[in-house]
Amino acid sequence: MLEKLKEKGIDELYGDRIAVGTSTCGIAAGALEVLEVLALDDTKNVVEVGCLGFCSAEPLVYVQENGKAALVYRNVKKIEEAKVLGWFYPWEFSPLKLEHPELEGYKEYPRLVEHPFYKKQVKIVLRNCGIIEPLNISQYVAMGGYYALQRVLEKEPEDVIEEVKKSGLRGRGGAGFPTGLKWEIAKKNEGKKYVICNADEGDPGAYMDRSVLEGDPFSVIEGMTIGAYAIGAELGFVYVRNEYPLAVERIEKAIEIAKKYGFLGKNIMNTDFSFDIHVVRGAGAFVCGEETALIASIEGYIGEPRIRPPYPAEKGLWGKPTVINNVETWANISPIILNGWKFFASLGTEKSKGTKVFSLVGKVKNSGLIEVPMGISLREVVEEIGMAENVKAVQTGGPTGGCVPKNLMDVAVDYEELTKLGSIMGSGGMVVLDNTTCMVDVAKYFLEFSKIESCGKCVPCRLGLAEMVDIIERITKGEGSLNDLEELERLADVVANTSLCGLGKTAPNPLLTTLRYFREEYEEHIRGRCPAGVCRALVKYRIVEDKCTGCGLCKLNCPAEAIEEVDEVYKIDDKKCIKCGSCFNVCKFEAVERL
Amino acid sequence: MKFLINSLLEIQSKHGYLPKNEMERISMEFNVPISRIYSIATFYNAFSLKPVGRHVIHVCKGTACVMGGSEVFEDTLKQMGVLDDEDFTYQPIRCFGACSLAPVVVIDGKVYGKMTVSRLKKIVSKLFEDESKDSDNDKTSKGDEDAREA
Ligand SMILES: Cc1cc2nc3c(=O)[nH]c(=O)nc-3n(C[C@H](O)[C@H](O)[C@H](O)COP(=O)(O)O)c2cc1C
Ligand code: SF4
Ligand code: FES
Repeated sequence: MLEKLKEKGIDELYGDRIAVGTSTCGIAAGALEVLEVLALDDTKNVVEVGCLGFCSAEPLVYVQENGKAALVYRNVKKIEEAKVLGWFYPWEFSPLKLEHPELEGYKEYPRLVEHPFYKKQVKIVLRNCGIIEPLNISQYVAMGGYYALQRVLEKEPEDVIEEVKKSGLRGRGGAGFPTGLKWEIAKKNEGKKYVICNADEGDPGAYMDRSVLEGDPFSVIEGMTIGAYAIGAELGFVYVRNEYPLAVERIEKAIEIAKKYGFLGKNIMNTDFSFDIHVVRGAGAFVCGEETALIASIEGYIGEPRIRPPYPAEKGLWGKPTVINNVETWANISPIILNGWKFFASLGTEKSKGTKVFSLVGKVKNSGLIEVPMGISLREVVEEIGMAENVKAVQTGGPTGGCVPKNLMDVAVDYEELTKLGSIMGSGGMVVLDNTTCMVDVAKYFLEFSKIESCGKCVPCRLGLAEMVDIIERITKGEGSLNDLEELERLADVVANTSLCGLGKTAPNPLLTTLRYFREEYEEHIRGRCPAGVCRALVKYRIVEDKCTGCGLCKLNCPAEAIEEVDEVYKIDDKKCIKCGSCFNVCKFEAVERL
Repeated sequence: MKFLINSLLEIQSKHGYLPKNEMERISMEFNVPISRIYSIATFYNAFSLKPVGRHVIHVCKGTACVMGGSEVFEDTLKQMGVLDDEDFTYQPIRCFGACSLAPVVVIDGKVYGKMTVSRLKKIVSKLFEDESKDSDNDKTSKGDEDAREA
C-alpha cells in the first residue's frame, strides 16, 4: 500500500505546481490574498503548503514547472513585483534517502541551501514543512512517511525503545529528559498505558510546535503511533493550545485521514496493533504545559501541577503510566527509525544529540524557524543565520529562560552549556535584543508573565514572584535602592529552590541573568536613568522645532493624542504624553528628542 | 470521548462567554459539581463569564511583540475609548505564533502583522463608524417592523 501512495505522492510533489505557504505566519503576512489571485488561473496547479521557516520573507511562493526545480519568490505582495529568493530541490532539505525524479536546476539564481538563512540548517523535524501539502498523505509517504512505522511493526517493542535510547534523543519540551528512557519506564510499569503529545507551546515568542502541526501533522501522528507501539498504549492525546486554531484543525483532520488509510485506529497496517488519538484543546494557561498540570487539564480539572515523583511515566493520566512528549520530540522519531540511531547520534554534542528548532525573532534581519545541529554557537545562529547587527543580548528558553550577553555568545547551544550561563534551552525561543532594549524592563516583563501565569498553588511562587515584581517596578520608576537588588537576589533564591514545579523553579532566571550580566543597568535605574530610554517614568520627549518638517507622522502615531500642530510644527503636550516613545520611533528626521 | 475543557470551549466560542444555564448543563452532563465548572471558568484565560462585544481585539503581549513595541496599542485603544465600550472586547493574548511579524494585533479574527499606532487608529475608527451606522440601521429596521405591525 505504501508503494502506491508513494508513487502518487512523487508525481504530485515533483510535478508542475505553484505552492503558497499558508501557515499562520504566512496568512498574517498576506498569503491568502496572494493565493486568491494565483488561484484565478485555473490552468495552474496552485497548492497550499506549510511554513518553509523563513518567516520574514513571507508571503513565500514557489513555482515548479516544466521539470525544473522550485523557484522561490519572497515577500510576495503583488505577483508582478515578486523577487526571487533562490531555488531548491523539494527533496534536498530532508535527511532521508528519497526516491525522486531528476529535476533541472537554475543557473541564473542562487541556491536556497547556500542562503545564509538555510546554509547551516539541518532539517529533521522540519523536513517536510513547506514542502508537502500538510494533509496530503501520499506526499507525506513520498517523503518517507510511514515507512518507519511499517518497519517498527515488524520489530519487538523493546527493540524500538532501544533504538530511541541509543539515538540519544532528549525531550524537546524543555527539560531534556532522555526519551527512550522515559518510554522504557512507562513500559515497565503495569496497567493500561497512554501517550500524550504536549502541544501547549506556552512560550510566547516560540512557535515551532505550531508550525509542525500546521505544516506536517502526520509526522507527529506517526511518531506517537510508534511510541504507542513501543510502550503498549492504545490511546493517545494531543493537547494543543487554543490560540492555534489552524493547528487544531489540521491535527484533527490529519487524524481522520490517517484512520481512513489504516495508519491509525483498529489493526494498523493490517497488524493486530490498534491505536487511536484524541485532540484536547488547552484553554490559555501557560502552566498547563507542565506535564502534571496538562494531565489534570485533560482529566477536566484546573491546571495545577502536582508533586513528582511519581512521574507521569509511572502514574500519569487517570493514574496510569503515561508517556508525555513534546511535538518536536515526536516528530524526530520516524527519521531516527528510518536512518538509524547512528545517524542521529552523529549530530550534536556529547550530551545533546540531533538538532533543535529555534524561533529566531526580535532584532534580526532574517527571522523565522530554524533547525540547527545541537552545539552550534549562539553567535553563528544570531549573526550568521539571523544576520543581526548591534546585538546586546539573546534571550533564550522562553519566559523562564535567561539573557545571554553578547560577549558570551560563543557558547555552544546545548542543554548543559546554556544552563551554565544561567539560561535554559527551554522550548527553543530565541529573542534577539539590541540597544533599544532595557534589560531591567525585560526582566520585569518576564517576572510579570510568571506572576500572572503562576497557578498559585504554592506560596513561594505565588507571593515571591508578586513581591519581586513590586520591587522591580519600583526600580523601573527610579524609586529603587541598592538594597532592593540584594532583596531581589534573596527572593529569587527562595523562589527557585522552594517552588513546586518548573515554573516557579525557573521563573527567577531572567532576573538573575540580567542582574549577573547587566547589573550596571539596574544601578543606572536606581540613579534615575534608563540607558535604553524605555522605562516610561524615567524619560521625557520633546520635538526640536528646527528639525521638525511638519510631516505629522508623530501625531498620527501618538496613542495618547498628545501631539498638536502649532504653526506648522508639532509640539508635545507634557500633560497628555504617556512617554511611550512612539513618536521618537517613527520620526524619520530625528526631530523627536529623548531627554 | 468527551472532554470537559473541550465542551466548555465549544460553548465559549458559540456564545462568546459561558452562560450560567450552559454551565449547569455541562455540570449535569459530566456529573461534576458546578463549583468545579466555575473554578475552571475562572482559572483558564480562554473563558469569560461575561458576554463579549461585537468586535474582539487582541493585542499580542508575547515576548517578540512586546519587545517590538506592542504595549502602545493598549494605550491607543484606551485613548480611543475601546476599553470601556461594550461593543468592543479587548483581550491581550500572549503570542499567536506569528512572532516574526511582531508586533501583532488581531481584530475580529484577522491577524495584522507589523502593526503601527496610526494603522490601528484607522482600523478602529472604521469599526466605530460601522457601529454607529449599524445602530442607525437598527433603528430604521426596527421602525420598519413597527410600521408593518401597525
Ligand atoms: C511551566 C512549564 C511549562 C511547560 N510548557 C511546556 C510546553 O509548552 N510544551 C512542552 O512540550 N513542554 C512544556 N513543559 C515541559 C513539560 O513539563 C514536559 O517536561 C515535557 O512535555 C516532556 O516532553 P519532552 O520530554 O518531549 O520534552 C513545561 C514545563 C513547565 C514547568
Ligand atoms: S511553582 Fe508556581 S506554577 Fe508551579 S505549582 Fe507552585 S504556584 Fe503553581
Ligand atoms: S510574540 Fe506576538 S505573535 Fe509571538
